[in-house]
Parts: sequence; C-alpha cells; structure tokens
Amino acid sequence: MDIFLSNQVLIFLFSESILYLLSFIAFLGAFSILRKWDFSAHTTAQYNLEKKAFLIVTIIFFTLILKIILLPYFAYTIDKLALLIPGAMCGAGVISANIYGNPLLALKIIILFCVGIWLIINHLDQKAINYPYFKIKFWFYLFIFTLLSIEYGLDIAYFSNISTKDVVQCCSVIFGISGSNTIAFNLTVTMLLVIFYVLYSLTILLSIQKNSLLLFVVSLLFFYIGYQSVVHFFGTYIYQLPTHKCPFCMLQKEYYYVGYFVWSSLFIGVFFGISNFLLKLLIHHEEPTLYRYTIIFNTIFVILCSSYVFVYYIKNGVWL
Amino acid sequence: MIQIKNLNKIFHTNNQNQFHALKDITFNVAKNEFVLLSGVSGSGKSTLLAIIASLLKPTSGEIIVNHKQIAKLPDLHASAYRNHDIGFIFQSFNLFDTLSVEENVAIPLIPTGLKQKEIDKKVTKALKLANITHKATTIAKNLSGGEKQRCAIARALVNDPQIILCDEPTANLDKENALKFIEVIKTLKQKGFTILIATHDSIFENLHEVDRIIHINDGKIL
Amino acid sequence: MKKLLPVLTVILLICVVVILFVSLSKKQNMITIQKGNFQKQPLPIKTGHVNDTQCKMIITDTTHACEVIAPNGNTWFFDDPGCMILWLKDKTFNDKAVMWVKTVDTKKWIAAKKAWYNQTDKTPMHYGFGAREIYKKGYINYEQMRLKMLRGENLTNPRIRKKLLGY
Repeated sequence: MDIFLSNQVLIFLFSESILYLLSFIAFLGAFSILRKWDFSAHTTAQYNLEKKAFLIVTIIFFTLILKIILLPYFAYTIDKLALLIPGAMCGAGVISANIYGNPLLALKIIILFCVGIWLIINHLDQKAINYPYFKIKFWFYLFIFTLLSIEYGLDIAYFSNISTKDVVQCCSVIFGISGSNTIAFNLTVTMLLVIFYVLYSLTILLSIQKNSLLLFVVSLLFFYIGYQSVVHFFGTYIYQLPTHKCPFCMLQKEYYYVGYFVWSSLFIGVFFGISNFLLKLLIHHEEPTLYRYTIIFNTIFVILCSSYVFVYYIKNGVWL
Repeated sequence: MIQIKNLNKIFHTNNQNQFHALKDITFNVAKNEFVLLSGVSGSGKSTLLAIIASLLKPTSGEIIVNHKQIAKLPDLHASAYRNHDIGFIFQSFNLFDTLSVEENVAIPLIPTGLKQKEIDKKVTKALKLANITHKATTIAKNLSGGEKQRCAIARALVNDPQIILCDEPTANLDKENALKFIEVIKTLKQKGFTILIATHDSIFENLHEVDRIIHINDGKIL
Repeated sequence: MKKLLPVLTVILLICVVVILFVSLSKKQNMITIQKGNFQKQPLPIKTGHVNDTQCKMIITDTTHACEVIAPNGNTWFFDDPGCMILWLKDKTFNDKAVMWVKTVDTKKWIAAKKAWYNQTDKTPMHYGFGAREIYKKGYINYEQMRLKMLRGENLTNPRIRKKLLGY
C-alpha cells in the first residue's frame, strides 16, 4: 500500500476513477437509448432521446479522448515508480512487479485501438445526415465499457499489489542476453531488420493499393516486429550500449523522452493500418484518408528509429 | 418546399409551468410562395419561424424543408442548413453595432471558406438587392432603424438562400421605413424567393403579392 | 506502375513468409522440465538450452546450479539455490523431492540437504547462497539456508548485505 504515497499514482488513479464514473454514466445512458431508439419516429420520446444521445455522445467523446492521454501518463507513472521499487531501473521492472502488470498494459493498448475506432465511427456518424452508424456506435461503446471495467479493476489490483519490499527484475534481466526474452520467431538481428523494413515497405504498398485486409494482417505483424526491432536493435543505438535492451528506459529524461515519440508513432501508424479493415467489418465503410495516415506515421516511426543508427555511425564511424 | 405535419412545441415540458406554444400545426409552403403568419403577440408565430429556421427543436411532429427532416438534423447539418438554405430577418435586427454594414453582411460567409474576392462580390450583390450600397462602410450603430433593417435583409440574402424568414420585420420601423421594407420584399418575391413573414402588422394584409395568410391563435391554425 | 505494385507486394509477402519459416525451423527448444528421471540422479545441464523454472532465466553458468526431482521423475533446473528454495515453497511434494546442488569447492553434485552454504557468493540471482561440500567456519546448513531465504535474509536485502559484506 506504500505505493499510494506516490503523487503520480494518486493522480493516475483519481483520473481513472473520474473517467470510469463518467463512462459508467454514459453506459447507463447508452443502454437506455439503444432500447428505445427509432430515428424515423417524430414523437416527443424520440426527440428527447435525440437530445439525450447528443449529451451521452459528448460524455463518451470527452472520456475516451482523455483515456488516450492517460496512457502516456500511465507510462510516465510506472517509470517514476522505478525509484521506489527495489531492483527496478525503469518501467520494465515496475510492470513485472506482479501478475497484473503485463495484462494491464496489453489491455490498455487494446482499449486505445478500440477507442480510436469508436472516434472514427462517431465522426462518420455525425458527418452523415441521418446517423447511419448510431446503433453500432453505441453497441461498440458497450463493448469498450466492458473493457474499461476490466481495466479499472486491473488498475486497482496492480497498484495495490506493488510491493516496495520485494525485489523485481530489471530490464537487463528481462530483455538482456541472459533474459528469457529472445527475438521472436527465433530471428537473428539481421533477419529481424530485414523483416522490419520489408514489412514497412509492405504497409506502404498495401496502403497505396488500399487493400484493407492484407494491410490489417501486415500492420499487426509490423507492430510486433517493430516492437522487437526497437527493443533488440534500435534501442541499443538510442542507449548507445549494445547490451541495453529495454522498451521503457527510452521514456526517461536521459534519452529526451524519445520513447514517447517512438512508441506513439508506431501505435498510431499501426492503428490507421488496421482501422479500415475494422471499419469495413463494423460499418461496411472505408475511409481512404486513413491509408495516407498509415504511410505518414509508419514513415515517421521508421525514420526516427533509423536515424539513431545512422547518426551513431556518422559520429563514430562504426556500428555498435 | 416546406412541409409541416402535426407540429407541437411545449416549453418546460416536465414543469408545472409548461406552456403549449404550438398545437398540432400542419401546413405546406410551395416554392416562391409568399406566406404571412398572422396573429396577435404570443400566438406562436415566432416560435414556428424559429423551428423552421432550426433554432428550436419541436416537441413532436415533422418539419421537412427541401426534402430534409429539419428537426432531426445533426448539429453540423443544422448549422449548414441555417447558413445556406435560409435567410432570417430578426425583429431586433441582431447586427454587430461596432462593425460596418459590409462587415455585418459578410459574417454568414465566414464559415464557407470562400476567398476574399468572392466574399466581396457576394456582399456587393446583397447590398444592391437590399438597396443599402450607399451605406456600406457606415458603422451599424450609426444607422437609422430602416437602414438597419435593410442591412439585416442584405445579410439574410448574402448566401443566396431559397427561403427568407422574417420575424415581425416592421415592429421597430416607422410607416415610411415599413413601406420601404415592403418594396424590398416585393423585389425578392419577383426574384423567386420563398418568403414567410410572421407579423401582426396589418400593413401586409392588403398586399397583392401575398399568396396566402395563415392565421394563428393560441398556437393553433384557425 | 499500377501493375507493378501487386507484383512487388506478392514478392515481399513471400520474402516475409520464407524468412519466418526458415528462422522458426532453426528454433532451439528450451528445456524447462525433464520427465522420466526415475533414478533420481542429477541430469547434465546444457548451458544456453535450459531455463531456470523460478526466474525463467536461461542457465548459462552451472557453478551454482541445482536440480529438484519429484517422486514421479520430473526434474526441474535452477541456476541459484535461492531460486530452488522459492520454487519449492508451495509444492506439495517438497518433503519427498530429491534435491541436488553443484558444489563450488569440489564441483560435484551432492544432496542439497547434505551441503553447506556460504552466504556471500556471487550467484546469478544475487541471493548469495553458494553450496560447499567441505565445511568451513561461517557456512550454514541447508535448513538454515532455507529459512533465511524464505525470510528474505539474503544478499538482495540491503541490511543483510551491509552486515555480511560491509556495503
């Protein structure tokens, strides 16, 4: 329970609680609207529902936008907790302090993607004249609320079970040579890089050809391989240390918080890559501009990562 | 052009003080028709105009303008409808006193994203239609009542709407200016605008340009 | 250009699939548990191929290695006696399990309960307990080592480290 003495944890949990309360209110409203909604009716009840729906959508929009902002704050919080937990040098150790950490982080990322899809559907729904995606938007929100409820429970469980006395593993153990975290698919670093750039090229080609299904699959693979590449190769150039392999340390001030830019560009690029397929699935509609954003953000991510390597080589004349 | 079916408007619906302003209003307005909504103060004329202009939502009933369900328009579309499809002339003019006539008239063009040349062209055309070109650079607070009314007319016309809605347009005008206003309205009728005027001023009732008079009393059509 | 894009896409997709399949086929399976050790003898540990069951690290150095053999012949491996103690804590068969430790002095596999333990060794998980066959002053027995480990009285505890090592 000592962990609740940390300001960041208190701010984070307080914010999460307020957002959960708002999303619960929106959930109740959404539920009642879905039961009685009939857009073709011109009755008093329907007009009142339309007014209520406007309010509920505003609450949902506000809550979900803040959820997006809270994710980097969560990363910042667990990074700050590294000072309080023995053995942890960065967020890597803090996240693995108990069994709830990694599932919580994974769930937050899944929620982030779902929130993005909801925001796009909402934007398209409000642009149209007759709310064509109204019901699917609300049903999807009910699904997101379920995830938010699980996330809230995991947040409480995770922070309540962080011990300031038990030693945790630091990133050099989790991700280092002696760690069990080897490169995915048993790839060597060279092959990992080859696949990384090939997958990046594929995301560009598929975005130009507007092939949402293949782009969905390739984007998910690019997400995973991109993460592995940053941890096992590009990260070492950020830290300028061949044995320092960690996805969290680059979030710290020493590295100019570059981790936030690296991970956010990857998340956003992948999100836009998978979004058209999901939109097709949910609302049978595609947004061509999303393909452009995929190209832009994936390119930012690749340039950012590659630049560290080339700058190091230019400065030192050797590779790490 | 305008179809109204079983329109009701109740203010403060869940209150003991609820007021049933419009009761089962049904009527149609054809294109290029000049319709007068006649009735005493408090009969519901202004409320009806406000609903047609999408400034208020009805409590129940349908209102269709140019095949669009006005009461059900999302915010974005309601704003676009108010900007493009109708021109509203208010009883109290609602001009920005610190801006000039041409600046007031240009305001509805701001959300359209037009270039300045296009804006100037449209403003000039609207000022000419409303017969107030000679006062283009005058600050609104320095205008007379009639000039303010004509500035309001120019503003209502600047986006080339199909429908003009006027709420008690002559209430704040003397007889001379009221007659000048009527001349402008006659010109608009000749140019093919659909016009709805809510008024209790009898000066309109004898105009042969008026196609129809709808009498409203206590929220109902008589 | 338009006809070239699908061709290029297919070529790159094939590249990805081929590289992944080739890499996967070379995958070396890590051993975490060995079954069928009915003779309850210590099994050889191939460094780089065996996981410590408790801390999940790959065993790269067998200097402080340990093994636990359950009554059914299942054998688990550890790179640090402290890991072995922590893992055994909640096992129902911990009374009947056969435990082997590699001694630092004689480099032999001996029964864990018969070994002596130094408290200030540099072990992989930094707990500090290194097994010895020959007793010297300051060494503790298995039961003492087990209790200290379960109470957190090892080199990862800053007070204990200061008391034993002075820093």
